[in-house]
Amino acid sequence: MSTLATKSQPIYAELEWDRTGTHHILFVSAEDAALAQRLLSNPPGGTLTLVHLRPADDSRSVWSQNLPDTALYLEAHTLAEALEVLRDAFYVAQMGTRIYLAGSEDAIWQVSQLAETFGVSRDEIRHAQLGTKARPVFCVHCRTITRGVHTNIVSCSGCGRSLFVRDHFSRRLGAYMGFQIDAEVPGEVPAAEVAYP
Amino acid sequence: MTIAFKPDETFRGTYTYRNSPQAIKRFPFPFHQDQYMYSVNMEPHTKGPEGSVFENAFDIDEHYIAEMRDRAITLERDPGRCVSLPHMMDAEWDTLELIMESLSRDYPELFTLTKDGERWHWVNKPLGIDQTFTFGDAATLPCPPFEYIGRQCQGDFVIMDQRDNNLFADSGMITSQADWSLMFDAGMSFMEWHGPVPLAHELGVFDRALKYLLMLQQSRPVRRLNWTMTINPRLDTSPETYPEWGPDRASVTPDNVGDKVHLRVELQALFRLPRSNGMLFSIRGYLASMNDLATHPRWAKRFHRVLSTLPNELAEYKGLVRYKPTTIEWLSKFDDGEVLPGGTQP
Repeated sequence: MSTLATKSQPIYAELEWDRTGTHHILFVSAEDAALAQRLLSNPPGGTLTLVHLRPADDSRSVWSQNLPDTALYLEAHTLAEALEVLRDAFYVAQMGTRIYLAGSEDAIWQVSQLAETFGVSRDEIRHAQLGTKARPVFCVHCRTITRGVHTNIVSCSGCGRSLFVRDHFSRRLGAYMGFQIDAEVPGEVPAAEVAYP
Repeated sequence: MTIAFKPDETFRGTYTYRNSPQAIKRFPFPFHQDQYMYSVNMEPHTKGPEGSVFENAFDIDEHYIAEMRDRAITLERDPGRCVSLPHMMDAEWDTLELIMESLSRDYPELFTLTKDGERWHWVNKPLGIDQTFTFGDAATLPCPPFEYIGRQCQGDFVIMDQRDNNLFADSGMITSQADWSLMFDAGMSFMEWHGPVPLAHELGVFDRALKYLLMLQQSRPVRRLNWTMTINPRLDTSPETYPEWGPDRASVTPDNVGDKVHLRVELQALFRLPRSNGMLFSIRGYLASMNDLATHPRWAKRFHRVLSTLPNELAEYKGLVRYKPTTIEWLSKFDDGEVLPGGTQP
């Protein structure tokens, strides 16, 4: 049950600008003052579009301060709305575009999937996990994705089976694998523990 | 060699699958030694001895018709067992060509392929198929080329796309797998796909295997054996249907080990594909019950020792934990402690 040994599980490097790019699209969905400071105080050459998923309240965000003057700042209040904004951004993206995704795994891998539908290759996208460690879990039996899972065992939102959450991750589906934990002896379900706070 | 097919065997429900003595004799028993550990055990997939499972590029045996029927049942229940990403069409045709040419060359009494330019005529006698089509034009076949030929050849198949110095599992026809999900794993890189395998990453097995495979040349396929265990002669042991077959693992008793517990060996072969530069990965499975193994005392002794010394991580990963002790106990009555020289012969 080791976690780091599973090679399909993404390992997130420290987020840095790819300065070989000429257009940059940054999506963020969580606060991280140090990261915002580091990235925004030394922006890359070329255009920068920041798509910011944040609650619809008046709270100040580290991402909307110290923005480079030339950056285009777009705010969204739901992931669906952010995906619409990003779809437009990817639609007009040119050669030399680099994409940076920082937030929950659920959000960043959904955006990643969207980018790939526009022919963006893996090495043009950089990912960073910020905020919650909650996992999207793909039920291998009914194919429903249960989102925001904090525990190692979860009831599938599609078929109701008790799923064990493996460390095996699919970038294509943007989710971890879940399989019925009591398939061999129905009813033998251990207590769930918070594993992904 | 004529093959006496057993078309009515089943791999679910009634489980009437049985091996003939000849099928047992050619079973690819994988253990050279009394202990097992992962290795990059690849060798050239060259023509082996007559009658052996290594004789031909794609092995057809007495279970062919029944296995193809079981595959059709699985695909009917879950079409997602055959997945092919859109950029894989050249590799699909490559695969169809490789399998049709191999089968018609190696089993001329069962399969024939006649070409008139791009107009091909394929006859599969055991399955009663007679198809004329245009190579490269998918509209002239009843289904996409990879699915078409995958329904007519024993073994599971993955086509890997080679790019960025890596291999991606971008197509698959997977209906008899050892508990891995094509629907989940499709599109993964080589390391991601093998992510859940314990110990082997630490041994560097996959790094070496990938390096080796990236250099694989056309007409120089390679092969290796892999193994697991299956309760009942069931082909569809997928994660998708785990709720159906999982309870079988808890059903093994000292009285039914011989019939129920099977050693499942995969003859894995890898072929470079000419047009797409992709790679066909065939995973040809063989099932032998413990009773089958015990007809060759060396195998029973050897397998007793392999199971007894198997590292826990591997037993856990292969799903053997519940019935391993009962099986070891059953096999122990065949093991007199004789020192066995190396080798896999019966």
